[in-house]
This record gives sequence, C-alpha cells and structure tokens, in this order.
Amino acid sequence: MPSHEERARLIRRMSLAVRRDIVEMIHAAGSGHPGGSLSCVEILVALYFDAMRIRPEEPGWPQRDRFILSKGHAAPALYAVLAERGFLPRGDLLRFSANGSRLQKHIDMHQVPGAELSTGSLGQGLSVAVGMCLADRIDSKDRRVFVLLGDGESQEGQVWEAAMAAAHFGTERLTAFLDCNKCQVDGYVRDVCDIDPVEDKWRGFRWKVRRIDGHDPAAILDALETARSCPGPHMIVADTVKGKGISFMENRVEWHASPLNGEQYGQAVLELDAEERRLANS
Amino acid sequence: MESRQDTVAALERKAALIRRDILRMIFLSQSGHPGGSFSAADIVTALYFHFMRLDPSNPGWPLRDRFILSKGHACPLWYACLAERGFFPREHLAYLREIDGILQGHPDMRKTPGLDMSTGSLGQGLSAGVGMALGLRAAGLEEPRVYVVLGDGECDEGQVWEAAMAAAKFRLGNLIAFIDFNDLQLDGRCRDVMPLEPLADKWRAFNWRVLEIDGNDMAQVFDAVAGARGDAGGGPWAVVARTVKGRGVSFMENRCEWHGRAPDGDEYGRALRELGGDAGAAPRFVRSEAACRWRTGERLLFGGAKEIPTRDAYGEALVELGRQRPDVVVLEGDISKSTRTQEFSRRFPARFYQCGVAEADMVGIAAGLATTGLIPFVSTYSVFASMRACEQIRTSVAYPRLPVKLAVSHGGLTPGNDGVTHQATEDLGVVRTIPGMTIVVPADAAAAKALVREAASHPGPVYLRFTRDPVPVLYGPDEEFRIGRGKVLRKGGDVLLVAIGDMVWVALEAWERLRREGIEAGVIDMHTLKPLDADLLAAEAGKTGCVVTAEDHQVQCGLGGAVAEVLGDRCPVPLARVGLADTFAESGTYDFLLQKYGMDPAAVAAAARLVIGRKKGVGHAVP
Amino acid sequence: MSGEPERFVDRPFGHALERLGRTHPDLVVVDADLQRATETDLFQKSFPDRYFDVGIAEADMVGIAAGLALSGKKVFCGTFATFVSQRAADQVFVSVAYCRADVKLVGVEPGLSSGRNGASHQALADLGILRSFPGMVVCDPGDAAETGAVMDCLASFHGPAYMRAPRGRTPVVHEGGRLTLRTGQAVPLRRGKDAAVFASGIMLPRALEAVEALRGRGVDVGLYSMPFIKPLDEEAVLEAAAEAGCIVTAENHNVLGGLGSAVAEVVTASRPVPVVRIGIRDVFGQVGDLDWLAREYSMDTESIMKAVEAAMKKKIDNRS
Repeated sequence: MPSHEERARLIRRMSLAVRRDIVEMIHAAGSGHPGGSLSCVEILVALYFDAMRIRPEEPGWPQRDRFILSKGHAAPALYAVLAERGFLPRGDLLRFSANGSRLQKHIDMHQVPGAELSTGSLGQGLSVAVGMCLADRIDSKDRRVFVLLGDGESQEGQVWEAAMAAAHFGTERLTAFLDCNKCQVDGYVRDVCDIDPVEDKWRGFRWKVRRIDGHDPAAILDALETARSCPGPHMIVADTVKGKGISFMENRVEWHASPLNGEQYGQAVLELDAEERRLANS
Repeated sequence: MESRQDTVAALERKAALIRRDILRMIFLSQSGHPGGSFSAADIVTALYFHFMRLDPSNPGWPLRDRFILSKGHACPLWYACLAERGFFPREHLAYLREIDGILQGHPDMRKTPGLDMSTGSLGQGLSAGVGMALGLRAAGLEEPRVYVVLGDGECDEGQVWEAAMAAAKFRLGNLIAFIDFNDLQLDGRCRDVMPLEPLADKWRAFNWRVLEIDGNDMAQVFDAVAGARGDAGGGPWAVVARTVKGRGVSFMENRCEWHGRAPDGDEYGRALRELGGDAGAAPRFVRSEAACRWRTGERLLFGGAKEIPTRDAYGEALVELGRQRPDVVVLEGDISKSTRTQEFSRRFPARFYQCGVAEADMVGIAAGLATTGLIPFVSTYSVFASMRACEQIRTSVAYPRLPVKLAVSHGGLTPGNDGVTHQATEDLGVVRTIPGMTIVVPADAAAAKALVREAASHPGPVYLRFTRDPVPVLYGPDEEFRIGRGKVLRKGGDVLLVAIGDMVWVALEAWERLRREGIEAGVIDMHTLKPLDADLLAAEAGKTGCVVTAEDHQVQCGLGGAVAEVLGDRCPVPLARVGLADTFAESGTYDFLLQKYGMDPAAVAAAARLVIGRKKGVGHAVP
Repeated sequence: MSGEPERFVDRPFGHALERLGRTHPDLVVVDADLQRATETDLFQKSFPDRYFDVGIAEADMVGIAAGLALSGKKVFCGTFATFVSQRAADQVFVSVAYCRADVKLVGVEPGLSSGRNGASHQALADLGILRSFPGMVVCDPGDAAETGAVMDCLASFHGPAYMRAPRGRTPVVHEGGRLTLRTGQAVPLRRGKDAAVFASGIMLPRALEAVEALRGRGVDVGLYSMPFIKPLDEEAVLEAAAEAGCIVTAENHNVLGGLGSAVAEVVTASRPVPVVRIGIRDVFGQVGDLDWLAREYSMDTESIMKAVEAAMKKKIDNRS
C-alpha cells in the first residue's frame, strides 16, 4: 500500500496530465466548458485513480463503484480522466464535440465507456444516484456511489428533493462533492442567487458535511476516507477555483464556456509546463 | 379601540364559524378535503378577518394584500373566508366542486372572485408569491404584504426551495410564508413519508427569518402575523406553525383518512356539535338538486355493465407482478391510496419506495434503479408525471433508454370534481413528443391488467395511463393484448371510429347509435398511442374513406394529431377529432363533463355523420 | 456593398426585447442564469430595475414570472428551449396557462440549433408540448424580420405565449428585413399549383432555397412561412391545399406534435391532401454543427426537394 504522501503525489501528477488534455481538447474543438472542467480535476482524479473500485477493461463490471458527473458540462474533465485511466483511447479526445463524435459537450452514457449517466441538464444527477444506492441495497451490493454537483447547480429544486430523499432512505454509501468554484454563467454565485450558508443547508437536510480545499489531494483523500469509515450520505463541500491551473482563467466567470484561441492555448501549455517542472523538483 | 384579547377572542369565534361552513360545504357536495382545511383555519381566519387589507367590492384593488393558498386542496377554507368577507354570495358554498359552479375542486382564480392565484399542483405557490412581492416592490408599493400558506408535505417539492433561495436573494421582507405543519400527508406522517425536520433550521439555512408557533392557538397566530408584517426591513418571514390536521373535530384530528373524505350524515351532526353549531338552527346555505342542468347520459350498450376504475386493475396487476418478478419495484409520490400501490407496498415493503411529494426526484431515482437492472414502476397522477417531471422523463429516462414504467392514474377528465389541476388532458401530447417512449392507454380493467404485464417485459420506457373513475368492462379476463397492435372491435364500411382509453366505451356506444340509423361504423381500440399501429389504421381508413378519433385529451397533439399525421402521410381522407377543443375543463362528474365538453357518445356519433358527409366529393384512395 | 440588403442581423431577439422595454414600461424580464444565451443582458443594461435573475431554477423562474404577471407586469422569461418546455412544463401549465398570466416564454437554441451542446440540450419536443396547452400561442419565427414582428405581436396582447428565439447572428429572408404580422398570420412567399411547402424557424431559408431550385426546373411550388404554430393560419393552409393538392411541412422539431401535425390536423379535417413532414424522425439528436446535423437528419435543402417530389407522387397515386 503506497503511503498517503505517494498517493497524493500521484493525484497531483495525474491532474496535470488531465488539465493538459482538457485545454487541448477544448482548443481543438473550438468549443467546450474549460472553467468548470478545470475546477474539479483533482476530485475526479482522486476518485478514478484512488478511491473507486473500477475495471477500465470491463466498464460494466457489476461490482464497480459508480460516479455521476451531475454538472454534465464539465464533460471534458470526465473524458480526460476516463482516457487517462484507460476507458477510452486518448485519440478520441481530439474528436471532442466534432460532428457525430461520441464525446459530446454533454455526456451520452450509451456512447462513452465508463460514463454512468447521460447528464447535461443540471439538477438531475443526485436523484439518480439515490436510485442507484437503493438498488444496491436490494441487491446487497457493497459498492459506493459518488456524485459531483456544481455550486450553481444547487439552485435547482430537484437537488433539495434528492437531498431530503437521500437522508430519508439512509443512503449510507452515497458521497457527493460540491464543486464550489463560486462562478456560474451569469456571474458570481453569491450575486446570481447566493447558496450560502451552504454547509448549514446540507446539515439542515441531515447530511454529514465536511468542507475542504478541493485542489488539495491529501484533503480529498482524507475526506473520502472519513466518508468510507462512517455511514452517509456525505457532502464534501470542496472550495475550488474556476479555471484552476491556467492563470488567465482562474476565478473568471467568462471562462465558463469559452474555447481557447491559439495564443491562449500556447500560454496555457507554457503554464502547465512550468507546473510540471515545479512538481518534478518538489 | 379593541384590546388584543378581545380581537383574539373574536377571531376564535370567527374561526369556529368558518370551520362549520367548511364542514357543511364538504358534507353537501360529499367531496373535498376537511383535514388540511381545518388545520390551517386559524391562520387564514386571522389574515382575512383582521390583518389583510381588502376590498370585497373591488377584488382587484391594487393596494390589497395578496394571499396564496399554495396547498390548494384546502380551498374550502379559502372559499369560506371569501364568502364570509362578501366576495361572493354565500349560496355558492353549497355547490363546491360542481359542474357550472364557481368553486372548483382546486382554486381557479378565473372562476372565483377574490382568488389571487390558481393552485392545486403542490409546490408552485411560493414562487408566485415571490413574483408578486417583486411586482409590488417594482410598483413602489410598500404597504401590501404577500401571504402564502404552504403544506408541510408540500415542502418535499424542490420548487419550494428554489423559491426560498430566490426570496432571500431579493430580501423580500413583504413576503410572509406559513408552513401548516400538521405532520400528516396523504400517505402517513411526514416523519415516515419524507422527514422534514429540522424544518425551522432548513428555512434559516435558506436565510429566512423564522417564527415557530402553535398554529391553532389564535393568540400565537395573532402575535406572529403582527410581528412579521410590522417588520419588512430584513428578509422574508417563515412561520413554522405546528397544527393538528382535522383540528376542531375529535374524530378527524390527526387522522390521515380525513385528508380527502366527506362526512356522512351522522358524522356531520357530531362534527357540527363539536364545532359549536346548533343542529336545530336554519343552515347558512342550502343546496337545490334541481339547480343542476345535467342528467345521467343514456347508455345503450353499457347501461347495466360492470364498471371498474382501471387504476384498480393496475394495483392488482402490480401485486401479481410483485409475486412473479423479483425485479419489479414501485416508487410512489405520497398518493399510494389513490394510485392503488398501497397493496404492493404492504406485501413487498422492501421493493417499495415512498418518495414524498417530489415527482422530479422520484423519476430520477427510478432511472437510477433501472440502471441496475430493476424494472421500476413510478406511480403518481398523469398530470404531475407528464409535466412536473417532464424533463426528467426525457433526459434521465428516455434519452438513456431506461426501462422505467410510468404508470399513472387520473387520466383525462376522470378525476372529475378534483378540477383542472388534476385532470390530465395534455399528457399524451407531451409524452408523445419524447423519442423512444411507448404510450399505452388501456380501455378497461381487463386491458389494464394485460397491458401492465406486457409493459413490464417491454424494452425501454413505457407511459401507462389509468382512470380515476370507473369505466365499463369491455373485455373478458383472458383477452390478449400486444403493445403496438390496435384491436378491431367492430367492422363497418361507412366510417372508422378510432378510440383510446376511456373513450373506447364511448365509441362503442356511438357505434350502436349509428347502427340504429343504418350507418355501419368500424371501431378500433388504439390502446397503444405510440408506436401507433399505422398499418392497421391506413388499411382500415382506406376501406371507410373517413375517420373519427375519440380521446379523453385535447384534440391537438394526442391521438387525433397522431392519426392526422398518418392519414396525411398515407391515406388522406376526412378526419374529425373528438376530445377537448383546446380548452381547460372544470370540476364536475365525469359523465357530465363528457356531455358538456362534447365528448359523449352523441358527440362521437355526430362527428361520424359529419365526416361521412365530407367524404362525398373528396377523391380518396380506394384500395 | 451599398444597396445590397443585409443578409444577417445580430441578435434580433435581444434587441427587440430591449426596444420593447422602451415602449412598454410594464415589461419585465426574468432569467435563470443564462442572460447572454437569452440575450437579455441587452435589456438588463438598459433597465436594471426591471430585470430579475433567479439562478438555475427554471420552475421557480416560471412561477415568479407568473407572480409578476398577476401583479400587472408583462413578463418575458426565457432559458434554453428544452428547459422551458420540459423542466418547467407543469409550472407553465398551471401557473401560466391555466391562470392566463401575461407571461411570454422564450426558448433559445431550439431543436438542432443547440448543435454543439448535444442531445440533452436539443429541444425537439417544445412545440408539441406547448401546443397541447390550452390558449397558448406558440411561435417559431423564420428569420430576423419575423422575430421582430412576432415580438411586437407578443407585446401587444395579454396572455401566455411561447416563442422560439434565434440566438446571435440571424439570417434575413424577408426583403427589407422588416415585417408587420397579426398574431396567427402565415406569410405567403410564393404561390404554386404543384405543391406547397410550409416552413418555420431555421427551416425557412432552407425551404426557400429548395422552392427556388424546383421552380427553376419548372415545378410550380408554393411557399408559406409559418411563424405561428398556434393559432395556425388555417385559411392559408386550406388555400394551399386547394391550390396545390399536396403539402410538405418543414420544421426544426420532432415530426410528431409540431407544425407538421398541426397542418395535418387542419387538412384532414376539411380538405384531405397528402402531407409529407420534414423534421426529426422521433429520435434523440447528437453533437454537430447545424448544417451537418441538417444533412444527417434529412432536413437540408435537398431533402425538402425530395419531399416535394414525394408529395406530388402521392397526390397522383391518390387520384389514380
């Protein structure tokens, strides 16, 4: 068993590779949602490279843990992680959003190996996750279900319907992340329609709540271990940065759904190269 | 000036009077919701008889306070208060939920003077309240307040929390919401159906100012409203009011079964005495049976026939399926007694999920269950499944092609006196536009049983629609049905009648009328609306040269629309469509509604004569 | 080039809304976190006090719009067409249609226009769903001129309506780029004795191209633009049925429930002639740009031409 420190280092390294994939695919496609894809990278990598029980060679393996990307517009992050983990050929990534491509801007579960749900309309993922947990209980399966929600997404009422239902049904193996990058399409979440005090809300809906830095691999691993060791449902509120890793995108609302032009792409690659050197030396 | 104590005492007396009026309304019409009307009676009485600024002679007065009864089923309470305040003559109270009346089963603001909002589909009132509060502010009106009364079970609906977030964002100090927390919803106690606690914490976490009171203690109600309306400076106010369902009548208190039940004569007398009424005194309003202009429709074929609601057959079929198939699970949205899933829940509790009043969530949960190989049956009313959860059906069920079976009751006008919010008259059109959906509407109980079995093993999603009210039994118990194959019930060369669901018996009645006139009509039971049996339709229409469709639905987008598409494509012959003519119906008995809205056997026969007349002179394909 | 009419207009919907804001002081706009997609940022800039963003909560948005309308406002509210018609269907039905609230619902990126966003965002059912609601006016304008004209209609009457709005750069089909319409009016562009094409929304320029090509070959094809799906201009439909004897409909929508169905309902009722419907054939969409998708789903110019030929053949078959 590798040490906690080594696992965190792997996540950091892999996150860098995933960020490269994301900017490359969105640049190549000339379309996509970079900001919200970059904010959830560490969480997705921690799930797919550490926490989840999965078999890339057998995506439909009945004992697998499942992950739902409820904020379906962050599909580039999921596609990149699936490719790095071996579910998809990496070459597919460059067909992202191309005519007839199976990698749409929002996810089609029937076309993407490893994707558990078609998403893209916000607010629906958590309900489906609750259903998956209930089925596992019938089938006496001990697998887990993970969901990632956006912070703006929690303005959808269906999220709160599902929150109430998850607590009611005692979906112990359900762990949700709230990717709190503080930005949505029309502006900052606090201005468009504030969701704070978000921890109180989830506690008020009887979830176990923990708040972490969503870019700190060690903190993510800690939170996932806590979630594993005591019955949920668990909400991990992850403070993140929209556009994380690319200086000119960070915390900028306008990078919700803008592609990178050639010059911006070059700049992004330089920044990721610098990060790679920094990681190698650390 | 009156002291607070005197005012409270006067309001207590008024609340008792209002409760007696509610009791009498429900008794006279033998229909309505006493439990929730009584639990909120003290709050609404305090508002209407002390706090709200109103002008009964000018219901639309712009400076009035606004009131929304978001739990619309408690409308007898609203109607009683409006009549007592003089918005309309008290005599109307004798005709609750009746055809041609102004007091619908659920509030219709276009029919009843003084109503600020139509409600009846839970979860929508608070959003409208937010809009009104914003509108008043935009108009620069600082005085008027917007009061909204929500049910407790209603807080299961996500839209309530969307509205809660928005009201806090806009800092609507002129908005005051009451949560009538009687801890009982349709299927049981809230804590069992879908626990709400800590409810006050939830509202606080959504940035509302919260007061917790005993909502049946007039002094506490008085102080809460006085405090909240006097302080509009902060955010919106939530008054979490602990109440007792059925409050005031001992045998109704805290009893779920009195959610939507009318008292009989003996119960009426006892309840009236408990509410301080004098059984010997002249009643405040009386009912005349002669006032109704409708009479039971004549039945030539089904006069003495056995009648069964198809939802009953669904309930039975589910239990059989539960026994035979361990993969069948059932999801319910707090109306298991109505949808008839209760028996399944008793026998197979481990495969039954009570999701509360949260249809969007329920469909999502069903999708999740289906991804693991189970066959979920989702039960609610047609109108809520097809519209409240419309997008979830499309994106979480149909798009991923999951075998979720939406088995829904209260199709068409069969909810009768429940009124428009509960009558599903657009659902078929809505669901038909979603790719990959199979839509099945059985004509009778035997068909329902057989088609539920078929649907369980049919690949992909299926929408099954049942009736609330009884319809004649047409088929023997062993009749076989195949999804996608219409059934020719009668052969005839003059005109083809294509009917679906509870209009099949109507079409057969029309067939008999036409037969007596010497007109030979063919009749098809088109139980599967989608995929439509286009081959059968085109072949039979080619023989008759004209077609009538009959559906308990709007004439656009449903069966009539589907048949028009096929005829236009393959066999252009005259078509007349019988159904609701792009209009909302109203409360009333099913039989009377069919007559009033031109959907009874006589109307189908008339449509047949009309198209037969049109086919002369039109060149059509004769095979 | 001077003298040449503009072929495209930038954001005709957003500009029309802003223009109406000037003439209608009671007009307010409600939005659900998509102000640039819905182009309501133009309105917000001019009238910040009459603009409300409720966050990602479409059901709530529709309810709030109803509340505003029932307090005397004329409300425009919009989001992606799929969310208006589906996420908030029940709220549109009860809080807007049933209350006859003066709410104009706007669906952007309808049908294949959402192209790159893929199937989850492609509203292929919105016209059918909203057409089935009593009293609802349903519109799918075909170019920038019709967009402006339909917006004028919507602002002029009291009551619920749904309009599909083009986003961004929008073609101009009608000469001069300006138009005045009555609610429910069709726009006849060509008359023809061999066949008639009825087109709405983004299918209008394609239909025009197809009709011109056929006319060039001597086929006498008529063309009607149908900015209003409901109320449908029955007179125009029956006139064409009588004159041409067969009809082709072209819509950016499922062939079930929308324009094609509405036209079929009308002609079968009083003048049955063959109706061939062009549109999405009851499948979910996929990712792609508009032109590619139009070809993929047989909704391009060539497909319309073929459909005209098919309809003419049906007409002859039926006579023989």
